[in-house]
Amino acid sequence: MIRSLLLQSWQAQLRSPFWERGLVVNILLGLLALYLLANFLFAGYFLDVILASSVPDEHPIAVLSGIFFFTWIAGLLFRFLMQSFPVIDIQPYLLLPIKRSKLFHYLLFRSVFNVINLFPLVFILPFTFKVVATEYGALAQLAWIVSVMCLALFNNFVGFYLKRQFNISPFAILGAFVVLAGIVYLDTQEWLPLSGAFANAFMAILGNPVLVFIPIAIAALAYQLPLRALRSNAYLDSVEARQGRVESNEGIAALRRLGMAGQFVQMELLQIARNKRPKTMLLMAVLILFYPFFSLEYLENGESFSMVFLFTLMATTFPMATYGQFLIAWESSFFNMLMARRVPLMEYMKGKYYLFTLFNVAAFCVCLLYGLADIRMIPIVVVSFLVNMGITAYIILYLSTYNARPVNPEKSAFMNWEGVGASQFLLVLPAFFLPVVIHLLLQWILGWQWGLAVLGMISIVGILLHRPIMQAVVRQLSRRKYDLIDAYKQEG
Amino acid sequence: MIHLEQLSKKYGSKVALDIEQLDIPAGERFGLVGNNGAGKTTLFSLLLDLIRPTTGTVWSKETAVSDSDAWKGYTGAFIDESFLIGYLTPEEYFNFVGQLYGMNPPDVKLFLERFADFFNGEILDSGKYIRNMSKGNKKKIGIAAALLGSPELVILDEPFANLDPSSQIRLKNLIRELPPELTVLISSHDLAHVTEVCQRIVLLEDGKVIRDIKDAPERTLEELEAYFSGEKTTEAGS
Repeated sequence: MIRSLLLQSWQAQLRSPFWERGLVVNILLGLLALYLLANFLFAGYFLDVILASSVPDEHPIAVLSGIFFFTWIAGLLFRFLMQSFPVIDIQPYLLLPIKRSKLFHYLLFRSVFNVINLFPLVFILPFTFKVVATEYGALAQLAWIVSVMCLALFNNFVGFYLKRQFNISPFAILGAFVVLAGIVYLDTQEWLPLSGAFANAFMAILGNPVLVFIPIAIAALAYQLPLRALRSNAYLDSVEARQGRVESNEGIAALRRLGMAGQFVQMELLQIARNKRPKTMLLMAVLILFYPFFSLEYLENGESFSMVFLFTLMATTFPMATYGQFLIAWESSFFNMLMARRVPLMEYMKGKYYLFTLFNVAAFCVCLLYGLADIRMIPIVVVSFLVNMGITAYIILYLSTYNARPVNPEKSAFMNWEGVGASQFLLVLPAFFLPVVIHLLLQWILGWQWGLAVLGMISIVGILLHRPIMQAVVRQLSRRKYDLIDAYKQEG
Repeated sequence: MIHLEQLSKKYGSKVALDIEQLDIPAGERFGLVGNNGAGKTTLFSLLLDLIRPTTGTVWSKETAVSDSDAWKGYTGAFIDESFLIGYLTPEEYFNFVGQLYGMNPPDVKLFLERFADFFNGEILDSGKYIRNMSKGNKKKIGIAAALLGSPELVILDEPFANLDPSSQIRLKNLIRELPPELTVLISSHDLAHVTEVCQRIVLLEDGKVIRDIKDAPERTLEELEAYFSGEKTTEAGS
């Protein structure tokens, strides 16, 4: 039975619209996965050499066993973010005469077949042959591998449980990140020597392979966690109606003053607040605002101001670019309504520009704090803001009309390739790089200070030309209207 | 109100719609019937300028719909769920649509009062986003929103589908009580309903107008039933 279920899920994979999306994306994704696997294999092969040279006075196996603590923590977080566990696809089977418990075992069994579970194996396999087997023998090697895999399975099942049990909000992920970072910090300060305990445990298993039953038991216990959760709520109603009552939003008074455009800003804000994907994407964009921090040392050395500017520009553009890549596609599910009812296109696009203004002002305010670290950051942050408002925002508005792939904003943001296609890359590239090219050109001709000043001036001209540029954007939208309607209709 | 000439839409070699001429005068209750794939939704989409015709033009009040947005000011429509905004509550959605036609939230609230029966207490103050509502309730929201902003032309695609029997009857009454000068275009698979609320029925097949029945309400239903039960050869299209 489980075999035919597995077969059907394999068919679902083969027939999924995933393969119909752009060839470019699939090739890139495939290459990325291969590249990562190769990296792990390569690093795994030289692991003994790396460990011996970086921590010469300790035994490589002991060092590696200690490291397992950190990879275990990181792995758990990684699974939170990246792994998608089979959850609702048992719905059509719930009605068939198949034992429920069988379905649950199948779900859990299937979750094990994930590339993520392959990585630790690839990573340690060469090392075990080179070091563990030669020193402790084949039996100990096997016990050791099994222990590591049990750790991975533990993460797999706990990840399954947490994802199934809680609708994990971006804030929870941020919180988990902080807690896990705290545990790692406590460990490195040796206040809570967990990595040492890990190392001891793994060494003990090598000394006495029978102890392998302890990690196996732990993984088996972890298996019970999602199994119980599934048992208690694998009913359709609990999948569907877990949502509480929602109240209508009265709207923000300040936005009403912007007229219809303000209404559209409000719609965008609701859209962000009530949909998983844009919300998570923007939260990640907030994290990227810390990016320029790492470039401050360039300022101290006094050499590459240009580098600092690029870091800052990139970080402040990011919120706009990450949301803007699907600017119109977010609304793909009701785009027909926008086109058939009396929606003034100018106000509609202006709403999007005002939303960008909101993003940019927020990013500007945060980045202004870098001025406390180094006063020379202030002109850099100011010009970045101007460039975003006067150049990048328009590029994104204009190019967003080319993203003709429907997007469902309710889905999770992680490893979600819906709406991503070759056009995506073409869209993001000019938004990021056109200002950079102009900047480098100006810097080359005029030098650092004047180059920055002229770039700021050009951006101000862009802001002053708001009307004619927006008119061009609206004309572009009217031209693309039919193509977008047609493309958004093809939603699965 | 609506005038179209030599209107056709082809997808590749497949003809989705091919109409020589059709006039819909103001105030008419116009029913469109036909089997799946007959071209009903294609025709409505062309009227709303959502797709471009292969040949011909749609004129609304003597203006081509593709040339000017003027028609949007007096046209209300509900084709399918792509006219609803899933992440809004019904109230937010009505207020948004109302705003497009210059109505403020109190206006909208007043307007919705006459839908109290039709909504059956399941729409307003439901505490749900539209995306979490049933198909029937979504349809009710769409129909009410199409009537917002005192339109002169209303286009409803399959308004009776997915509604429960009481709601279907309430919808019929609602359509009958609409102001007589309002032009209403309805497509439906339900012959009894559509003949009850429309004076004129146009029958589409393979994109062509097969029958155009006017001013004969007592015979219409019989004629349609005869047609759909397979007696297609009795009479050539008029």
